[in-house]
Amino acid sequence: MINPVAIVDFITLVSSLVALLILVRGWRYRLGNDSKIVLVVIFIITIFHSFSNILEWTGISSALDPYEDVIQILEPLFWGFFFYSFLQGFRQHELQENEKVLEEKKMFSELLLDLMAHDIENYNQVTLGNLQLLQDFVKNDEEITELTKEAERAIMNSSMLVNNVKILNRLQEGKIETEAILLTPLFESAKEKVQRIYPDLLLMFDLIIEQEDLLVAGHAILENVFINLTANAVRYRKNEQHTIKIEIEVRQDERGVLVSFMDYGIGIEDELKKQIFNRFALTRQERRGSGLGMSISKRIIEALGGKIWVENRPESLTDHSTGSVFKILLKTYVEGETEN
Amino acid sequence: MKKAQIMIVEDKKELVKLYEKFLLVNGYFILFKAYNGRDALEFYKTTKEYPDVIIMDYRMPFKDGIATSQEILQVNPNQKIIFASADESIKERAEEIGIMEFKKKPFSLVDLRKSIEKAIEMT
Repeated sequence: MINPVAIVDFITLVSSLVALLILVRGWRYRLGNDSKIVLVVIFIITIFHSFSNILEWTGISSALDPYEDVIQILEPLFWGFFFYSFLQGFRQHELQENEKVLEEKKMFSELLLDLMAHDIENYNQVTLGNLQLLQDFVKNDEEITELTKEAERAIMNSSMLVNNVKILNRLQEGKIETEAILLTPLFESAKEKVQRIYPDLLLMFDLIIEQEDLLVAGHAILENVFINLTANAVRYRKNEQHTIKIEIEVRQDERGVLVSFMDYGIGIEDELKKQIFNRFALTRQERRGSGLGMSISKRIIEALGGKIWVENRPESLTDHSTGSVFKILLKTYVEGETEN
Repeated sequence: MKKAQIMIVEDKKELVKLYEKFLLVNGYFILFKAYNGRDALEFYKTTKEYPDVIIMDYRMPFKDGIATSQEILQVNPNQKIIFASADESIKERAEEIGIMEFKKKPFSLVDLRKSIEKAIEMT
């Protein structure tokens, strides 16, 4: 007569096989190689264990009993290891899934930003163009001309804001790689772009540069720093100023390339000198821009491994009201070296 | 004196309207308006008279401004194209294929007039 325990063992064997099959099949994508090896070992042990029991309880043979004792000690260890590696694999799979979701969200927000920026710029173009046509029709009406010019400036500033938001997004994604950059063309294009926003003012750059072909480890977006600095020099000019003079000095020292961007504006109080690089930090000085420009400039410079700070003009170090000097320290470009 | 002939390739109706008004006020003749690259090419390949200047947008249905300009310049390498786009990242590509000038939207109509005059002088 067959021993009932043998029947139980037989059922256990079949159940184990089914459970293992389900595990392997259902979780095949989540199991790492180590888990799979352990699972195969457990599978062999289970067969051996049950086979030995069946032989013993049916009275055929008990020759496998001594080995069974050893296996009984090892089996829980293998199961423990399996569950450990299974959980690790599961966690890794979850992380991969989360990364995938994040990547999709990032791509979607990039798409939204791109669409938004593109469409805003198109509408800016329509508004700007129509305002300029309107100016042609009312040439003799000074009041309307002044109002339309004010609206034009607002449009150009909104365009600058869109550009800054795009850069902010790019910086957030860490997509900046340094390359060899000549500074002079960037100063020139920055001046040209800001001059377009303020056609009634005269922008003058006085450039003092030791070495014209000096290369910095920079990026084309560095131009936006000079646009922001120039736009600030215009926005924070003294009321009577119609000629905006900016002195730019570039020199190389052991730390890298130091750019001093000096204006004759209303200056920045000492307490606010650090705060201007944080958005919305200005509380005691009149705000004349979005407040985003300087904070983005700081991010750009830091992404390039440099530093930016502000001081009073050298001829009046204790009096901020004569203007500001923005100092930017950049790395000198060395061929073959790319960072970030 | 014959009026300079301009072709507008732009998908935004409001912008086409603006360019039209601006060009007419300034004494130019609008040879053709296309709202996408495909229509622009169809016209360009069949016309007997090429425009003096093309104002070309970038993002358009069917065919973008780069591909359209490329094909136009293959037909007529001397064609003067003023590229007007909100997307500055394509400036280099546009210049590589041989457009005359890239203008980042929004730009001043005074600047556009200067660019058109420069293009006409060159033709």
